[in-house]
Amino acid sequence: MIIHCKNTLGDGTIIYKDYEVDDPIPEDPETEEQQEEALTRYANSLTGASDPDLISAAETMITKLSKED
Amino acid sequence: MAEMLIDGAKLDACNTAEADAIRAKTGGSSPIPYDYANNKGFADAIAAIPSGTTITDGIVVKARNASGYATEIDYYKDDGIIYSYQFPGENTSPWRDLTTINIAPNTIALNGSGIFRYSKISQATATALYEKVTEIIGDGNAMFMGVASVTEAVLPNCTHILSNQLFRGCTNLQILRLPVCATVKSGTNADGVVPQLSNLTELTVGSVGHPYMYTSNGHFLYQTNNTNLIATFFIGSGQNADAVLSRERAGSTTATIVIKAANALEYNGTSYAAGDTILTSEVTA
Repeated sequence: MIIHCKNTLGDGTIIYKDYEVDDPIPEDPETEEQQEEALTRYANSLTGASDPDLISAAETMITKLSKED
Repeated sequence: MAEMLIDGAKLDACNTAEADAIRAKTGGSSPIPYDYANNKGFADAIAAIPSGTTITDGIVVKARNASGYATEIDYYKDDGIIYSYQFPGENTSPWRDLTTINIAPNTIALNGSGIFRYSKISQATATALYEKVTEIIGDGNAMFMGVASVTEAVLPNCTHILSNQLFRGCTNLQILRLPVCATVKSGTNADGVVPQLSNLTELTVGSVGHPYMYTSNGHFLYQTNNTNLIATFFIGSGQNADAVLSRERAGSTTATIVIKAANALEYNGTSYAAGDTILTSEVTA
């Protein structure tokens, strides 16, 4: 995801610049990278973190993989 | 006035019993002088009995609620480190109703995961704790996760953070100030220090004379999208300005990010004095 920003420098110069923002974990991870990240976060959530969205994403993926198997 | 008759033998027996009791506490078998002339009896000997050893490690429960759960404790720690899952607040924890912790050491390092997760500690206890924290280490997770009582966290002595998702789920946290924090490593998950906190309005890292040293392994914001959030970073080198801005901007689509000079430096060909604003970044769309 790209966002557009106005950066005002200390000397008054204004620079418009685009930045790439971290993508949220999708509800239904599709790519191998997304699935790996979702699993990593899910494992992490079990050891200290707790994020319903991330857990939901990981569980969706696990369910999907189970059906494929 | 009627005179009181005293049985001398009985009085001697009483005095001997008292002296034996004192010797039992202090050891030895030497006679203990009875100070009759100064009307003090065994008072000096009793006053000299040691009151016990000084506690250096462990927990003393000071108050419990009607259910028997501790609500206030004194916490002693001779090594000055609090480790993982020490005071979780889940219903299965013996510390589920703990609101007040009187921490004895003057400085504390936090090491590990989930130390205070879902704890019901009061803002006053949290404030006292934060003032004593010198570093957060151990590559752990979510030390203060879900601590709902805390609205303001100021850690004036914390120089280093190595912990992922430090304040995850602290939904009421509005202010986080880390005036001497030089380095942060977000751990294995890279979700930042204040992920997804929708009520956070102020984040300040570093201060004049205490630059935040950027590394690619650490950041604060992750989906931290309060439109009123102003995140300020004091840096020590102009070369870090763009790197800090890019990394933190990646974690927020809404925050205003301000980069300031912790010391005299140059950025984009312009000189800045300590405390000057180098740049202010606002989202336009």
